[in-house]
Formats: sequence, structure tokens, C-alpha cells
Amino acid sequence: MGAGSGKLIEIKGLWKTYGTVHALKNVNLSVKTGEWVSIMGPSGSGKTTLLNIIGCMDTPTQGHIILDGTDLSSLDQRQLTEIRRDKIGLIFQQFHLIPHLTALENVMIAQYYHSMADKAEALEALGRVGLRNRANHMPGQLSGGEQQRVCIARALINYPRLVLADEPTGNLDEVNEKIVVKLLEELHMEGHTIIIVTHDPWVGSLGDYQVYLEHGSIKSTVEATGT
Amino acid sequence: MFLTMMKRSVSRGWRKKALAVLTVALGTSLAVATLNIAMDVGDKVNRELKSYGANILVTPQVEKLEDGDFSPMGGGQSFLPEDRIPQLKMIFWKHNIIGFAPYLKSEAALPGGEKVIITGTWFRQLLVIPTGETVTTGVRDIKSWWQAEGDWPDFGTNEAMVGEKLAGKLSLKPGDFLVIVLSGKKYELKIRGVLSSSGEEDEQVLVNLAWLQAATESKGKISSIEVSALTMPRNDLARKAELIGPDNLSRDEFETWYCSPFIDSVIYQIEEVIPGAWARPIRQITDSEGAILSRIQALMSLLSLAAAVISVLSISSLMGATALERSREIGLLKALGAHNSSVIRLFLVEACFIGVIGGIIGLWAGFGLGTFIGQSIFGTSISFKPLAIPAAFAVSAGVALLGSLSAARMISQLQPARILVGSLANG
Amino acid sequence: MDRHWFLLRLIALTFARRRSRVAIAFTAITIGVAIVSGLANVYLDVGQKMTRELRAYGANLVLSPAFPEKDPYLFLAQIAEIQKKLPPDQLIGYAPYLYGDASVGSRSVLLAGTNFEQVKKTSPYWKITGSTGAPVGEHPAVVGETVAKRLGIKAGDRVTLTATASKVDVTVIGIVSTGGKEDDLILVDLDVAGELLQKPGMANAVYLSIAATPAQLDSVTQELQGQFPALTASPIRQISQAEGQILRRIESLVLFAVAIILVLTLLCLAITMMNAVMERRLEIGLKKALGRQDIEIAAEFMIEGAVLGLAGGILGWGLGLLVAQGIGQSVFHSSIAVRLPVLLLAVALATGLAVVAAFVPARFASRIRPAIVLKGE
Repeated sequence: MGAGSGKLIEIKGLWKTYGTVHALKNVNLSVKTGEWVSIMGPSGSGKTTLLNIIGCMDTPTQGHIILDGTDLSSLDQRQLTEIRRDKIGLIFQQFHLIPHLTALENVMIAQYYHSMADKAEALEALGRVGLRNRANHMPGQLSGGEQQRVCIARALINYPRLVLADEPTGNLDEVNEKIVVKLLEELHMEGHTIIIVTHDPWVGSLGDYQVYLEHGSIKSTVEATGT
Repeated sequence: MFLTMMKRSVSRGWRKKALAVLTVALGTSLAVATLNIAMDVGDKVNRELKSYGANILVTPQVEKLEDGDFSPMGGGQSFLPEDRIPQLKMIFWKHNIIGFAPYLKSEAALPGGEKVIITGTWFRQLLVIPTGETVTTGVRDIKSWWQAEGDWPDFGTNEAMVGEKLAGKLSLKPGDFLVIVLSGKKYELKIRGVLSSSGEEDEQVLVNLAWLQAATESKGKISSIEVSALTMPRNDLARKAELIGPDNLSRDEFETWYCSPFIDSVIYQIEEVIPGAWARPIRQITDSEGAILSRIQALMSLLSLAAAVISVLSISSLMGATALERSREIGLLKALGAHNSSVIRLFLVEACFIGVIGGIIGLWAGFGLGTFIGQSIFGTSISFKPLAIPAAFAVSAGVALLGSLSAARMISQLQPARILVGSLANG
Repeated sequence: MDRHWFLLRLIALTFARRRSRVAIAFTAITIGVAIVSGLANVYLDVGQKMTRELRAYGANLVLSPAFPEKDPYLFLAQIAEIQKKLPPDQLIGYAPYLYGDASVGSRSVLLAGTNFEQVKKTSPYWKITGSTGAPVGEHPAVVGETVAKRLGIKAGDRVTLTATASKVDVTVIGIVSTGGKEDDLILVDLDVAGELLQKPGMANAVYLSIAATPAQLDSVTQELQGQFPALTASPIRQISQAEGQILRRIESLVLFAVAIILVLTLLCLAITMMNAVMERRLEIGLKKALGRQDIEIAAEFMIEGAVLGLAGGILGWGLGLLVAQGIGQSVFHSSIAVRLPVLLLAVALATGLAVVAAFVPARFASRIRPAIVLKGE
């Protein structure tokens, strides 16, 4: 869906302070439409905080973040929720599927919240992640990898401008990690903008470039060599 | 180690625990209040029912007579000794005798020659019991529905009350004088008040007992006594005693019967202390009383039961909430190798702890509430029932333990892996 | 509108798949409503029930001639008319009495004629010993305990009653002991007494036992007084006044108990419902992350609460009827009237409570940043 190659995200002088602790210190970053950015760094470096702010799940203490032409720092909770619904797809480390709904229903609930539940479209999305035949299984009956693929299908169902993934492979074994990474690569090829937080150097190396955070500041930005 | 964990568990999350204690306290206090009222309601309602009037009538024994006038006012009356009246307050169930009034009845003639019944009684009189206690009692106390226009006669005077029908017929009002002829002699009575009883007294003249005794030369004689006694409804033993006679009961049964405030045992004891007396229940009062009392007691016990059930339910949901809140901690304990039983024990000890503290607070609050309710319904405080203390503890401990069962079940079904992964999935 | 069908389907699925969880909340609501609505039914009926129970004390209204000097008797035809005026379901019994002097041999006694069938209803406390049926064709008599002792009469004896002009043979079917004025009477059928005393079809007084609260009794009294000026209707104050007092006490006692239980039940339901929602705070966080507004999430839970409250309320009300009947049968040996307002109250209470109990924690949970909930902190 990405139109043109303008700047999708522009982060300027971003600070996030919890009490006296600075989680983020003067972060500046811009991401263009269609880019795949990996955010890396040790625990407590502020990766997840940064992702949450981009994902409209947290607000900065200071600074600006412009997403698709809208300055998020001027929005209230309600408007942030709308942005999240309309423009962002989220993938979690712990999948977070609603336990009493089937894979299909978990996808459809995102559709319903966005606009309208459409079974055919939801089935197609599950087909894309290779789970068409597991559509009517409950999350408890799916493996971790399968659950994460449902989560990806759910993240994509509303054609988000931006996909955010927080340690998407953190809870997966090697085989499933490969499957999930392959899916992300496909999304990237199709032109989706992806920001991924990861510990895994191999997963991190797959993006267009890697941003290294340390003590809340960007330590370095490295262009990827591969792909 | 267990103790350390307990200590940590108590000191941590004290807010939640305070809420639990509060809930147990609330539940217990409400249950204790209803329980306390239920235990006392028999006594309270019993006293209330006394407003229906006396429940025991004591008259001289009657012998078979070959001839004479057998209408109640006829000749050949026999009498009871007035000096035995204080004995009523010396029987085993003396505290249950809450009022009495002696009567002496005679027939007088009005100036027009018409006959009228004149009754001598105690309006309200101070009586000194040989034990040194004093009692104030009389018709004004045992006949709460009697109403006087004007005032009541003073003790030891020739003042009289006139029944309202008689007063209407003779156009008498308080302050007037009434002349009557008794045993051939003329007397002048000062009318203190007009009595409205909606009974036979409305056509009679009522005077002080001592005055009538002097006028009819029957000093120390009375024809009947009405006694108001608190009694408990008849049970199987009382019915057996009534059927075969108390003297034919076995020794133990007789002891129990004698020492229970059944109407029949109170009557038996009255007959023991007043020679020549025939005491019998005024069935209109006693029989109905038993029926009403057992109804109310049954109703109140069911209500306390309902309160207890609800208490268990609310503690159950609260303990469930606590367990839920701490599912992560429980999962961790189990992952570290703790058996279900030891985790549950931790919870149960905690439940007991909460139960005891909540129980103590609830006990006092419950007494307060019970007293308040008793005060506002019956106008007297609910008496302190020592039995309520162990009962309250049993209730609060039982409530806390029973209420924790659902939490215990949840604990044992909890799978550590699921909880620790922190996924949305739960049991 | 169409798109919201999905939400309703989701809620239905939620109920169907979280059966054991839903069952806990549902059971709590059902039991709570059952107890509260059952007790409310009992409370609303307790006055009526106790009024009837208190009729054990016997007659509470007496009719007598208004001008006893001129005409000391009531006529049975008049009494029949009065009886028709009274609502049959409130009239427990009516017993006419005709009094007069008679003698047994040389001994004079007080005679009363009445209707034994009605006396059983107006004076249920009479204790009759040695009761035997009267042989066919003979007149039955019941003798007061005191008179029986004085005359040496036993049940089964035949006695000749003499009055001024006539005499009649009666069979003693029992000795009555009441501790009241009946102990001094010989009681026979009203017809027999009427004939013997030469007052056929007359009575001195009629005792009525009416199942009515003191206020109702007063209005019955006034009505009778207005319609039959030839007689005086007066409540027996010993009975009616005490009754008013007792009824008030019992009603407020039950009201207090029911109020206490209501408070406990509401507490219990609120905690259970809040638990049910708090348990799902990850789900709330996720929904929020998926872009659902707080108020919409709260609404989802409130709809669930409403459905649960409605269903639990109706089922609970049904069970409450059983509770009420159980109490009615075990305490009063009669059934408790079903009152529709209690249904409305029960359902409204359960639904309202479930909705509020869902709203509060849902609102609370949604205020938490989804990021924090979802990270499992």
C-alpha cells in the first residue's frame, strides 16, 4: 500500500522519562515508506519504549514524532487509538491471541474493530501465512509458530501503513523462527514498512539498516549488507 | 521457610489483604447480627407477645359440690391466701415471671338496686419479696391494652375505676363519686378514671384489693391471680409430660422438664408454692404464643442460613480474586517444585489468618449491629449471648475456609508453564 | 448495524467457550438473585401470613346490640346478612353466642349456645378432652372444666338442663379447658339454647375472626357500623392492639434481615463480576492495542454483563420462587404469593449490577497502557 517513497516516520529530539530515569534521550530517526528497520541493543536500552511510542501505545515526554504526516505528540488518547487501528499492525513476542476464539475469529476481530468482519478475506490472510486448514483451531491447539503466524495474519488484515514487531521470534524455535522471518521478508518485498525490535543478530541483519540503542540514545546506525 | 513465606505474603499486598479482612469482617458481622437476633428473637418476641396479656390463671381448687349456685359470682366461693403471692418470685423460673395481679370479686348493689360486679386488684403495686428484692406489678403492667380516661387509683385509697359501659349507663366521669352497697353497708368511692378494656371489665367497678378485702371482711383472701410468664413452646417432652402427667416421667426426664420454662412446669411450680391453688394455662394466650414463636424462630434461622450462604459466596469470590491476582507467583512456586498441597496450604493458612482477624472485627461489629437492630425494632438492646462468640468464630473460619475452596481448586488446576509464558490463555 | 452482528456472535462464542468461567459468575448471580428475590417475596407476604397466624389468638371483632337496654339480642337472619358482607377469604370464622341461666338438678349454671363448627375456627386454642361424637339424635354439649369439676361431670355423661319453662337432655361430648370464661360455661348448640331459653334465632353477641391487619380491621369495623346501625362492632383490643405491635416488629425484623442479605449479595456479585473482568485484562489490553476505544471495550463487557445479569436474574427469580415457597411451606405451612414487581426488581437489580460491575474494572483496566499489560509486567 505504501505510496511513493516519502518519509513515513520522522522522529525529532525524542525524550522519554520515567520519574528520574531517562528511557530515551534525544532520539532522532526517520524511516521511509517500504523500509525495514531493525532496532537492536542490550536489555534496558529503550528499544521497546521506542517501539511503543511509534506504535501509539506510549507518549513521549518531549520531542516530536510524525507518522504519515501526523504529529503524534499533539494527539489525545482517543486519536492515538484511532491511528493505531487504522495505520499500525502489531506483532507481539507472546502472540496474544484471545484464548476462547479460533484463529479465524482472532483475525476477524481485528477486521471488525477496523471496519467490518469479512470471513473470506480473513481466510485468505490465514492462507497467506499457511494456516488456512487450521482456521478453526483454538490458540491452545496451535504450536507457538502457528500462533505467531496467526498474529501476523491479524496484523496485516487491515493493510497497515506500518508493521511493528516486538521480538517476534523471541519465543520460537529455529524452524518456526525461519518461517516467521520468511513471512516478514515477503511483506518487505511487497513494500510494507516494518520496524522490528530484536535481540537476535541474524534477524537484525535482515533489515535495510539496524539502529543500535544504548542507554536510551542511538549509538549507531548500520546499513545492512545483505539482501 | 513456610513461616517466612507466610510473613512475606502477609506483608506484601496488604491492601488486598485489608480488603479481604474487611469483606470477612463485613460478612461475619452481618451473619453474627442475624444469628444474634435469631437467638434472641424468641425472648424478644416472647416479651412482645406478653402484650396479649397474662398466660396463667391461678384459682382455688374446685371440689365437687352437691348443690349451690355455680355461676361464677355465686356463693360458695373458696379463696387463695394473699400472703403467698411473693412466692411466685421465688420459684425456679422466677425470672420468667414478668408480672401478675391478684383479684377478689364480689357483687355490690348500686343505689338503684342494680347489681354490679366489683373487683379488687393491684393497679400497680410495690411488692417486697422475702429474698429482699422488690417488684412493681399489677394490672396496668400485665394488661397493656387497658386504657384509662382520667387517672389510675392510688394505692391504699378508696379510689375506683369504672368500666366505660357502666360509666356510660350511670353518666359518671373522673372526679365523680359513686355510692355502692356491699354486704349491707354503704360506701362512697371516688372515681379516679374510666376504664376501657374492650372486655368484661367495661361493666365493672375496680378498686384496690386491700379496700375490697376490708369492706367484705375477707382480709388476706383473693379469688384468683393472673400471671404473665415467659415460656418456651412445648416440645416432645412437654407433650409427654402433659399426656402422662409430670409425676410419671422418669427421674431424668422430670429434671429436664422441671428445669425448662415450659408453661406446664411453671404451672407445676406455682402450684407447689401456693397451697390449694389450681393453676392452668390461659390457652388463648399460651397455645397461640407457641405457634407464633416457633414460626418466627424458624423464619429467623432460615434468614441466618441465607446470610451465611451469601457470606461464603462473597468470600469465595474474594479469595478467587486473590488467587487470580497472584497466579504468576503460584505458577512460579509450582514450577519450582511446590506441590499443590503446599501452595494450597499457604493459601488456607492465609485464609484462616484473614478469617480470624476479620472474625474478631466482624464479631464486635455484628454485636453492634445486632444491638442497633434490636434497639430500633424492639426498643431494648439484644442481650449478649456468650454462645455467639464461638458461633461467630465458627462462622468466620468456616466462611473463610469454604470460600477458599474455589481458589484452591483454581490453584491445583493452574499450569505453571502457561502462567509464566504470560500468554492470554488461562484455565 | 450489520457489522455489529459480529460482536453479538463474538459474545455468544465467549459465553459458549468460556463455559466454566461464565458458570461461576452466572451461578453467583443466580444464587444471589434467588435468595434476594425469594426473601423479598417472603417479606412482602410476611404481614399477610402473620396476620393469619395471629388468628390463632381467636376472635378479634365482636358484634353486639347497639342498645342493649331496649333490645338485648341480635337476630340470626341479621348475622347471615353481615356474614355475606365480609370478604370470604378474610373471614376465618364467626361464632354467635346466646347466654342464659339454666340448672342441672338443683344447681344453677351458666349456659351458652353457640355453633361448634365455627368455634373451632374462632377459638382454635380450645382444648377439649374426652371428645366423643354425640350419638345420632342427641344434643351434644361441651362442659367447662370448672363446672365439670364442681358438678362431677365426665365426657360421655348425659345431663338434663332445665330452664324456666322447658328442659332438654344433652350428651357431654367433651370437657373444655381454656383458662378463660368458657371454663365456667356449659356450651350447647345455638338452636338447643334458643329453644331452652325461649330465644329462638337470637344471640347476645357474635365473635368474628378476621384475617386483617389492624388498619384493615378498623375499616371493616367502620363499614359494618355504618351498614348496621342496630349493632355495635368493636375490635377486641386485647387482640387487635397487640397484633398491630407484633406485626410491626416482625415486619421490620424481616426487613432488616433481608436488607442485610441484600447488601451481602450485592457485595458478592460485585466482587465476582469484577473478578470475571479483571481476569481478562490481557484481553482488554490486546483489544486496546488492536485499536478499540476504551469506551467501546467497556461497552463490550457491559453487554456481556447485561446478558449474564438478565439470564441470571430471570433464572434466579425462578429459583427465588422455590426459596420463597420453601420458606412459606416450612415456616407458615402455606404458599407465598408470587409478585411480579419482585421479578422486575430482581432482573433490573441483577442486570444493573452486572453492567456496573463490568464497567468499573473494564474502565480501570483500559486505563492501563496496553504496552504494559501485554508485556506481562
